[in-house]
Formats: sequence, structure tokens, C-alpha cells
Amino acid sequence: MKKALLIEPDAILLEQYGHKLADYFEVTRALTAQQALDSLDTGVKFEVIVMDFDLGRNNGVELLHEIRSYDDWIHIPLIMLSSVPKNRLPQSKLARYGVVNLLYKPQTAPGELLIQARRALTS
Amino acid sequence: MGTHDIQKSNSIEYSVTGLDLLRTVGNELKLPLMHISNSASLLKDGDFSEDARLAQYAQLEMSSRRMIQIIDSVLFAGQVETHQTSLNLEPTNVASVVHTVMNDCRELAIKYDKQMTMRITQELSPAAVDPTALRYSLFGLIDMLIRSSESTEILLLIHHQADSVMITLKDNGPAISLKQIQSAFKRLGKATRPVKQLPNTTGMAFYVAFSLSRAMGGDLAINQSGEERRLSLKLPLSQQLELM
Repeated sequence: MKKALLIEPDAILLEQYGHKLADYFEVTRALTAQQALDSLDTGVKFEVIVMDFDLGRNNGVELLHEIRSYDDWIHIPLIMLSSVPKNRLPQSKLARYGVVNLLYKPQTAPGELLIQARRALTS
Repeated sequence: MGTHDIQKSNSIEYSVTGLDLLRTVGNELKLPLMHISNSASLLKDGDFSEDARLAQYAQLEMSSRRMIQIIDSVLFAGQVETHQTSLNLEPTNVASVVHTVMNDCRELAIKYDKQMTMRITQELSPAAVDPTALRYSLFGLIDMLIRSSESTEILLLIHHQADSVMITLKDNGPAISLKQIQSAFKRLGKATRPVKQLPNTTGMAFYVAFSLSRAMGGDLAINQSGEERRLSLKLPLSQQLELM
């Protein structure tokens, strides 16, 4: 089973997205940037990362920078979710960090996220 | 001409404030709407066990109730502020209202893995408050802390201070953004020392608590010391009511 790391600061959304992703992936869930880094540090090889842009203390860009600073994690396809519409996010910066897809959360049902996460495996 | 300009300027200021409030309420409603939409979507395509299916229905119910509470509290605060509704100040057992609101928020606290504890440090005299206004003020603040707190426990302390009853909500977490509150609610922006971003919030709970506590002759203070956050709702004692 493919492995996905899901990073979402809202516990209810984490549960909802995690539930659907589990149809295809073995899902590790993280509420914070630190929990995400701890999960990556365990050495598990994730095939895809799905993360929220707004992670409270750390914004998504800080975590992205951290993730892309290590050879082991640099090529993991990454999907970013946000409650802010795409055109108000730093899209070119996110693309430089290898974000393969930027999804507007209010219009992304769990099933759609699963489709996009599976698609990211071939990106 | 001068009068006209002032009226125009006031009108623009109120439009901006109105739009700020609209935007804030809109953003506040986004999260429960996403929860509802996702639950409906999961139920539509899911192969659920009976327990998991019931859990999704419970989620739908809880998020819908939260939305109603959010809308009701903002409408009530707005009506009080514009004098379309008057408050019914009456001697009120504050601990009983706090207990009711904690019960209203219990399901959400379980979802977010938070524990709420109420501590009363002395025998309390009744406060002179409108119970509905107090309930809405507390609901927003507790709901906000449940969603944003980094600690697992939210402490609600109730005690007397001079001629007031104080309800202090205490937890650990990132500091509260004074800039965020002031930029959204310029007219209400009195807070002390908060500095950074408070995640998962829009400042709407502050608007409701600020405006309703002040309308009752009380106030809301926001303090940060290290990792510890304190939101203190000050309410007049009912003896004050007799003097009014």
C-alpha cells in the first residue's frame, strides 16, 4: 500500500480527509508542522504529502522549505490545500518548492483529494 | 460642505466596518461548512460501518449547530450594538451559565481532544448580566480556544475581583493577534499585549465578547505571558444593578 503523509491543523478535516485517503493509502496524520517532521524523521518513505498552507505557528512555506532541504524528501510529490483562493497564494514560490497541485479546500471534497493524491503519484 | 464630507467619511467608515464584519463572519462559517460538506460527501460515496455512518451524521449535526450559534451570536451582538435589542440585565449565577456553555461545547472539545475544567475559587455572588449575552460571549471564546489551543486543557476560573465577577479562560498557545483584532474591528480594538498570529480563528469571537461584555457594563481583557494565554471576562456584580 502506498504511504501518504497528511498535514492538516483542523482535527475534524484531518479525520475526514484521512478517512477518504485511507481508501488507497496508508495514511499518517499530523496536526502540526512538528508532528509532520517527526513522522518524516522516522524514515518512513512517503509516496505523497498532502499539507495545508496555514499551519499556525509555522506557515506552509516554512515547512516546505524544511522538507525540501533534505535529499530523502526532496522528490516526494506534494499537494497543498488552502482555505485561501489560489490567486491569493504565492503560486510561483510554491511551484519552486515542488508543489504539484494547489487545491482550494472549500471546493475539495475528500473524494476529489483522493483522486488528486493518486494522480500526484505519477507526476 | 464640511458636514457633507464628514457624513460621507462616516458612511465610508461604517461601510468598511460592515464589510470587515461580513468578511470575518464569512470566514468563520467556512470551517463548519467544510465539515458539513465533507461529511455529506463521505456519506454519499462511503462504505461505512454503522458506527462510522452515525459518526458522520453526528458531525453534520454538530457543525450545523455550531453554524447556528455563530450566526445567532453575531446577529445578537449587532442588534445590541445598534440598539435594536436591549439587554435584560438580571442577577445571574455565572457558574451555571459557564456550565451550560461548556456542555454546548463538549462534543467539539472531544473532537479536538481538549479537556475543559471549571474552577470556582470562592462563593460567588450573582452578576448583573443578560444570560443570553453572556452565553454568546462565552460560547465564541471557548469554541475559539478549543480549536486553536496547543494545550490539552482549557481552564475556566471564576472569582470575584472588587465589584466584579471575573471569568478567566486560560490555556497555552500561540499569542493572539492584536493587529488581527484591531484591523477587523477598529472600533473595538482594546486589548493588551498580544503579538502574533492566532491560528484557526478570525477574531469574530472577540467582536461578540467585546461588544456584549461592554454593553453589560463589563469588559474583555486579553493577556499573554510566555506560552500562557488569558481571556478575562469582567462582569458587574448584581449589587451594581441596584445602584443603577
